[in-house]
Amino acid sequence: MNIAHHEMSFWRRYIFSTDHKVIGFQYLITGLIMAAIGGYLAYVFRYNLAFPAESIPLFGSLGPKEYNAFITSHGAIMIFWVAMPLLLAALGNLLIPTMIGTDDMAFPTLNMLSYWFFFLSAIVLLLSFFVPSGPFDGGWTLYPPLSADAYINTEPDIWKSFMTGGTLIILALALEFVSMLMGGINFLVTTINKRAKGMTLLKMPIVVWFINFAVIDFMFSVGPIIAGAFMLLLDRVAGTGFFDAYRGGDPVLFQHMFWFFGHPEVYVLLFPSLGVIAEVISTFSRKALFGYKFIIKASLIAIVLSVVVWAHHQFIAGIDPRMATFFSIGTILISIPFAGIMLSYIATLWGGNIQLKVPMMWALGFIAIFLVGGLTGLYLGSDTFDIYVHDTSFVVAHFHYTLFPITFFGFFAAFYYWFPKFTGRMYNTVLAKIHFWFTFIFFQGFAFPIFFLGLDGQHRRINDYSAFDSLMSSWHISFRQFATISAIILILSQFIFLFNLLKSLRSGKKSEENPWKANTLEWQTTSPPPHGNFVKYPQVYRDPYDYGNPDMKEDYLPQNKVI
Amino acid sequence: MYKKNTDENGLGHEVPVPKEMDYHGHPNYNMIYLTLIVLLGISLLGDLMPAKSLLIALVFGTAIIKAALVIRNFMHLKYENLFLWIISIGAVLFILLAFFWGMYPDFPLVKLELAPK
Amino acid sequence: MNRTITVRPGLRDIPQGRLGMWLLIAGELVIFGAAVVSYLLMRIRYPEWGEQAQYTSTALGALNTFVLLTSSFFVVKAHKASLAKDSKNVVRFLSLTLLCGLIFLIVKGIEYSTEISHGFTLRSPGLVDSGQGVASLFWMYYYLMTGLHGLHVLAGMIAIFVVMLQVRKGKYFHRVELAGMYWHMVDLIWIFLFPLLYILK
Repeated sequence: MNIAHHEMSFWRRYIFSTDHKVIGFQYLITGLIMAAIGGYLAYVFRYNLAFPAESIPLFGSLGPKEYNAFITSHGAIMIFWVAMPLLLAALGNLLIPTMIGTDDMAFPTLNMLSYWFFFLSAIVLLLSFFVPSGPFDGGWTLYPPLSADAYINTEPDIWKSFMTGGTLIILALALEFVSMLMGGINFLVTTINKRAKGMTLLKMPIVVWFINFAVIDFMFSVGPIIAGAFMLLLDRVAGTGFFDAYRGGDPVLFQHMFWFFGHPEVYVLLFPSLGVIAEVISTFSRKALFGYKFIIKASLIAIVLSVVVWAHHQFIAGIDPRMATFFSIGTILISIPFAGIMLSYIATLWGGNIQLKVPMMWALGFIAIFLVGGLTGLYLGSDTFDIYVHDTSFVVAHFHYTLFPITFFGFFAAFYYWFPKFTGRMYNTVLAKIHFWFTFIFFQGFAFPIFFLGLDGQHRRINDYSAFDSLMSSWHISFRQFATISAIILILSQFIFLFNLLKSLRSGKKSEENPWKANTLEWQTTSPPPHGNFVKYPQVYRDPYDYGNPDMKEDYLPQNKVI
Repeated sequence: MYKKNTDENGLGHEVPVPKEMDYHGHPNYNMIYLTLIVLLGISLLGDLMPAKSLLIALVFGTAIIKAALVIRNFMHLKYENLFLWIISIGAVLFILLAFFWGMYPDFPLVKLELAPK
Repeated sequence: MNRTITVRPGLRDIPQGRLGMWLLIAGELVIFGAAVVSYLLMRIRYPEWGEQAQYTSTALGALNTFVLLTSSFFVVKAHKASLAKDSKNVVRFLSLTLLCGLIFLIVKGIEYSTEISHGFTLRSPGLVDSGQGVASLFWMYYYLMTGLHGLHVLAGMIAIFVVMLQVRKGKYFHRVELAGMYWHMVDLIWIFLFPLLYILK
């Protein structure tokens, strides 16, 4: 079954590889590098926010324009160049073929192309830091007229307008969407077409379901923003006026196009992460996942709802108030399926034989933090409250309470869970636990105070509050500084992870094939899996979560085991 | 002719039937082409329509029929699995309707006042 | 060969090429659909766009529709020939398709040059200066949608050309169908652009 690829050159094997595992690692490494850049930006502007007068160590001084450019880049990088590759692309590439028991993706060349498009998009984005006008500073949502750039409209100079942060970030986004679209089509076709013998749809692990749900949600919501990005590019480069009110265009149209994609995007990130949590929780509770079919049905409902709630980001954009009411109701409705999914996870823990291993700690941390994010989402979903706190730090705290656990807790749970499988080595558990506690505690220290600052009216895009007396009382200042110091420790504690990662890769002890005694197919092959993943293609006989079967000697029963 | 791509146990994957070839049936392409051209002709008769609403109904009616003919016969969707119907017709239409409907009150119902330059 | 099929194939029996192509088509339709939806909303908002639409040539648009429908017919003929591994016929029909695509692009070029000579460009500065900014928006959408469609025609032609070369060598007959499906999608989009931009005045 193994095709000999050993004679391949280094370039074909590790750089322009078509092997799904190599591509998964490429996405992983690129995502982590981008996360480091995003984290550095966060450090710089958080420091500036807390101590506006001081010069920033390792950077220098930061003005209001650069502050906005940095928060814009931080947002865009963290969502599109960290969360998307880590959660969707890397996990999808690594997990789908191994978990459904096949050798590779359906279209390996397309897969390679997808990564290189992604790489190109990251380069284009980073290029915007080196153009004369600096990176784009109008917010990661790219709203016109700030992004449609009025000066260039009158006398378009194609080269000059290309070399601006705004054009580059739009171009980079468009490239990234194309890349993820290619990767996503690949995931769907692989899942539908290449499952192992006996692997019916309802025997697939939840994470495979959820990555595919994420892809479906992405595929069908990304159209408007691609069209919108194209229009915005024309506005900047060719001088059209799609979003220029003087010529009959409408900036609100872009907001609709952006959020029609932007809101489902949250679920695109959430789904893979929730899938990982499902695997981890079921494995370490030694108990079947509670409500497997219910979880799938609830997520289908959530997907359908996710495309009719987008305008809750635009309550103050002057949209029709009747629609605002509808979108409020839709937003609050969509929390029901997700609450159901979370309750299923908690019900899985109930009465389980819980093993508090490292991935499990991240999974529980995810649930704890995400619940806060979800509950504040209910506040913000209601238009009456949202109008009051719109664009304040309350919103910032809310989406950090959702996106941080989604991106990092979900990713680290996956990382610590599958690291032994895909590298064949075990990490240092003590360091991993220290990493968890530092991240968990200092994340709270960073994000929780911001809720109160936001309720008092601290705006998202202002770096210096010395002109606002009501925001300069001693508790405001100390909350800001407390949040910043926590954020800095949070960022620094990621070096524990980096150290652990590098050390384990070099000299970690060899891991077993199935260290967690899990059921799904990827654990039933060697660690790391060989080229082609399985020496003999598995035949699947049962559900992925058959733990604690009383008839068996051991408490787990792999999907492909013949009784 | 349609061959089922499974082994005797009803399990897929291991039996590489030449899937790409001859996977679906074939309608009478000449007839469909002829119908399409006739429909194109009809849609050009819009000028004879007494009312604008009738004109709109005519042109979009013919366009939808043409599209349906192309999708069902030329792209062979009528021989396909239900999943492809849902993905390519159902989901796309749902998305576009949702998009249209969510934006409708913000554009046609609001007269834009032009900003002075 | 002549038996009509009454059983729908199972999910797993869809050849992966076809499945991938359908997913790509769904994605593309949403992209175009979004542009069309925003055009429609603006069209309803600005009834004065009807006057601008007078300047698009229905005759040339109809000719282009005819050309694309014909090319779709040729592609499907090529697909049928590809099932019999009849590479000579496949190449013949695919080159006819390419010819149709070329005619389409030439007609499009004639249209564009007439419109540009009337002062209707991407920015239509003449219209904007005379206070008809709203009218110039119509031309932006016109160029956006036809231009995007034109790019897809070009992409489809390249795909068909590549497949044609492969089939000439007697390889990859199944790709005829896949390239053909993409081409049908291009046709499909045009079927809707034609009434939207050319017929409704």
